[in-house]
Amino acid sequence: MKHKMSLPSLRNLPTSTYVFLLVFVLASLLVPNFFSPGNIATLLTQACALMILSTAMSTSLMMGCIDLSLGGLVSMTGVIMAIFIRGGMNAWLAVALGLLAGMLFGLFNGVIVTRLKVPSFIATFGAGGIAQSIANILSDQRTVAWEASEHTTLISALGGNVFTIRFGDSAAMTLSFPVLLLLTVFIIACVLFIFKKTTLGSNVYALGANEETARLAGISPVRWKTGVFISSGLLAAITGMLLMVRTNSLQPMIGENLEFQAVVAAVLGGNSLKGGKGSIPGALLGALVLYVIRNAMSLWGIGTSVVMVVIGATLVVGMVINEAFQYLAEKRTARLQRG
Amino acid sequence: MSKNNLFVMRGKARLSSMSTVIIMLAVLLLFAVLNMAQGINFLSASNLSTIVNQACFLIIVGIGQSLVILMGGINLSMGAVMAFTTVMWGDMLLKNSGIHPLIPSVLIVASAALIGCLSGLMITKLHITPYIATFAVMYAFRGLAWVYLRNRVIYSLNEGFRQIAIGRLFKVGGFSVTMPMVIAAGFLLLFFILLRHTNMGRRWYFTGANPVAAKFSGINTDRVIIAAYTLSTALAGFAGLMYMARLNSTEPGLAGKTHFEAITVSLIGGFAMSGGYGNIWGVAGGAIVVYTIQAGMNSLQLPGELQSMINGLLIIFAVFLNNTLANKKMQLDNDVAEAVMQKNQLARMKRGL
Repeated sequence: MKHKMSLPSLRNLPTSTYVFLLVFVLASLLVPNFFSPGNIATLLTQACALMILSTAMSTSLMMGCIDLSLGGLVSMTGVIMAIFIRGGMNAWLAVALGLLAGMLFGLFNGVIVTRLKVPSFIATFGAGGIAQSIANILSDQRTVAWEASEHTTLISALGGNVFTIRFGDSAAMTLSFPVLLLLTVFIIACVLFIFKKTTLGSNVYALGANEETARLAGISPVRWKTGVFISSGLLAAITGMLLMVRTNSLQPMIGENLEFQAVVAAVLGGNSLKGGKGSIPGALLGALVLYVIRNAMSLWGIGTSVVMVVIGATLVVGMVINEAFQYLAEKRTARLQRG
Repeated sequence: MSKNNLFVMRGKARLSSMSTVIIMLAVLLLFAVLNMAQGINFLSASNLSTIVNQACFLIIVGIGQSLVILMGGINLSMGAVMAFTTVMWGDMLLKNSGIHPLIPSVLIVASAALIGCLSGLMITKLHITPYIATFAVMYAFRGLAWVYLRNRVIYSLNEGFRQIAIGRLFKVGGFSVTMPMVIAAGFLLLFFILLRHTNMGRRWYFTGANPVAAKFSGINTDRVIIAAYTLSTALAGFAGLMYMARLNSTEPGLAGKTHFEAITVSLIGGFAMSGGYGNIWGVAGGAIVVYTIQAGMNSLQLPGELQSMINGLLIIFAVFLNNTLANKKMQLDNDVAEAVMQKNQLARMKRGL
């Protein structure tokens, strides 16, 4: 009896858990200094941006859409914030304007997808190009930096650490917990809470699984899709802010290819490009897989070109593992149903 | 229903299937007018020949991308494959290598086909989404190209080989016909015949439109899909040859954005992402649109950053127009069919009387 009870909970884990555990354990065993508090904190901080983006991407994917404009949006909103801050505007206001710009652009995506009926792949693919070129034009393709002064206290506050614990003398043994990581955890927790505890989650799944049925059941595709696009615009703008705070400046091409990495993370996490499947925690683990590989390889002193090859191979292996686990789960369900 | 009315309806239905042509003419006209205001003759024969010549490089990758989009898939690995294969065998194409350029050319296309076959196998046998499978291939092979060549650049190629990209054949008026034009036209014609007039083409369209139905009616869909990816990537390899011949060099960073351009071209050319819909000639129109914009903006001396913005807007607009016109065409075709049926019925009744 007990055995039967424990099975479903194990099966409910996102499939990327196994890939993540595999990669993490391998990295900890093979790479010295990988499994140290300092490095894990660094790894998580580096992964912040991709984690938020893959959260946004996985909500769109579950709904049966894809948002390829995320990368361009990160650049555009980041440039908008950075330019306002350089101009001497209060950082709070600048960030608020940047977030607003992200949401407006999300609205633009939503209107094109829902009203003009352009498939989301194409609409957001085009929109991403538009956003990136706005970023390039506004910044004149140069890094936007500013002098720290009174109006940028928010930025320096966000760039600091919440606490620092020393386990030893070396840098690897110093655990510093940055504000950015706390902020990321908080935002992801908010998204997860809204997704699990309000009707949003079930409506998104319903729309992704079968739009027509969902519409007949009284879920307005126009309203919910537009809403999800606006929220992914907002999340992209938050990512832009994180990247700006981390480097204390903004390079206009910063968001390039981020959307592809977000798709990869989400799909590794069990999301399907056809919609109606997958989960946010899975996507987060997918993002972490990519960063564990990158971090472990760079600690090992391996060049970025080899890392690209390894990431490509991991992707295939990860997808095969996902497929295998799904196959086993289906077989098990079938057996349980039969007997 | 009068005969005249039927004719008009057929004409309208015809026009509705030519959205790419409409976009192409509109873009050409727009830039001609804008340039005219600056006193530049945009539609001069030599300028048009430059645009078409440039577009021919994109037509080849565009055909490759269209083949997989026709299957409802996508091929992100094109640019990376172009870089990897040319870097791999590029040394044999150098001026003083002493090897006939045909050997490395065949090797490049063959190894590209092999990589495409690999993507196809991953998609059909391992059930990996095309997007992810080709993304993995893109990452892996771009990485391998960098690992293989490091920071070296393969430079100064065999002159005879370079003719496939820079050769000029003859002039008609001011319009010079070049080698790339002949090659691109050859590929367009070949794939037009393959897709429209052979059994294989029917199978491809059917598989793209509804893979499940195709499978149940006895088509080996796996084989069709693997063939599509193999051909698509082989075309990328061929395009890699032409790019390297034009640049007179190759390096691991070659064609960094080509897969995007190829997707843009086939979408403007009227291919539907859902698969099973599209006309190969649209690719030529799409490529010409993209290069008309580039050339037009260059001659107006507008900044290059604006270009990706206009391309982005244009993709959205083109697909919107394609969708609307395709729906309209379907409606008009139905109307025409109905009108013809009514007319036949009327004739039959008259005969009966």
